[in-house]
Amino acid sequence: MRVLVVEDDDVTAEMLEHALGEFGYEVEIARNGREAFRQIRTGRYRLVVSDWEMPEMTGVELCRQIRKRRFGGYVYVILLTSRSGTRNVVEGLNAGADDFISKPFQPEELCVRLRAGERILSLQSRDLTIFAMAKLAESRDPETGAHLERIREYSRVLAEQLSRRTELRDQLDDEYIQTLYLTSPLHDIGKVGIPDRVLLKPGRLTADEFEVMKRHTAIGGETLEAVGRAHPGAQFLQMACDIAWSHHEKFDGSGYPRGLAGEEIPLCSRIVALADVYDALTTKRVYKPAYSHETAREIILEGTDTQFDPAMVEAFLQRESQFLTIRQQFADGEEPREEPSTTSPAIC
Amino acid sequence: MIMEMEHEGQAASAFELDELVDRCMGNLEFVERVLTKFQQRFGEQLEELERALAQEDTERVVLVAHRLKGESASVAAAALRNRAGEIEKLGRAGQVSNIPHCLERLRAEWAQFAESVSTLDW
Repeated sequence: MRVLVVEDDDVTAEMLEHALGEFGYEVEIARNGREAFRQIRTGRYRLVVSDWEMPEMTGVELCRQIRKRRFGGYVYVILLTSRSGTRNVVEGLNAGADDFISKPFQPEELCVRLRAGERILSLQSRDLTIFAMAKLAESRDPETGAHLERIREYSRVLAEQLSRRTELRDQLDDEYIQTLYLTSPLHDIGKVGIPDRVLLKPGRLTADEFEVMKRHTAIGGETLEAVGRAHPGAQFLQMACDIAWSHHEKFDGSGYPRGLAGEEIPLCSRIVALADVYDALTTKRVYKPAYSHETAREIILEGTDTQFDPAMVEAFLQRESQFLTIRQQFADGEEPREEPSTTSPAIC
Repeated sequence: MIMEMEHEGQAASAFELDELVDRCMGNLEFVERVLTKFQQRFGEQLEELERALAQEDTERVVLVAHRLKGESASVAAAALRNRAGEIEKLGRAGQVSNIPHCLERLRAEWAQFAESVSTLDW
């Protein structure tokens, strides 16, 4: 992996390059913050080890400039400094530094801190890979547009609203919500196993064809289960698996594939179920026009207790304006602009 | 402040070879290259420091002293590090009139360092 070392002191720069090279890193050196910033803008560097005091632009100022912009991925910055004291640490962290190493550096300490940085960066890569997989699975169907982007936003909004309920507060913590955001796009990943004649049929499915389509839940769930068994440490896979299996279950047990009811249906699946239906109703499909928000709202309300968990419906009603914003922000094409119903409760 | 610094400078050793070898990942050839480069750079920067002082460019004095401190620390030359650090501190505190005295001590430490290195048996 490439590391950018930012150091105006020649001797230290060369020693850092040597040590990092021994640890397997590919090292480039910049002599000051300004030069470093030009290098970072190329997008080639995700790891930066920077001195604090330098001419033209200090390491702290470099951090600030890095954090002001997006570079297509996170840039992990370690400040190398002989400064000590809480005030300096706070200044560095406020500026956006991720870690500190005291000067003179110890090679092994530098190595372990860079490895920690790599672990942080790999999490971002994981998130991108997951979304890419979901998009790939969806890509055969030309109608879905920004469906996945909307689903994860709707799911997050619902989860945030639900987290205010006393009985769900502990379960719906920040980590849960973030994992839901990450894994909800995988709900239909099983569709890769559905033949084109069914998946891409330009009209309503026959009963037999619908039975074939329904199998996408089991295909997705079983696939993610198998991956989860091979990688038991990847906890997000359990949620992805639950969502893939159960996002078509109905609250009254009349759903598929297993006829789960009530709280037998995992919470994440109950959330995604409503998000998925809302999106299906309000986007154009080959067999139907895009329904208005009002119509979708009515259909969802009618489905309270039968199709949908009442708590999910309540959360939806409380966040209608956000649903509309998301729908507009991630619109596939020209959609009618709508306001939420004036009769809906304005509880936020 | 000056007396405390002098005590600190005397207590620190000229050079810790083991520490430098560790920092160079055990590569003695690289250690030799580093020391050669350090000595060359130190001489140049010492002259730059003196020029900055003569020109009353306190900002430059602080910058160069800081760099000398960093490089000295990297090559495990604790006494040089401390002396350069004193000059940096005095410059930041605006006590420029005390710097020439520290600079003399720095030169003395530099001579001692050069001698330590010259006696190394590679």
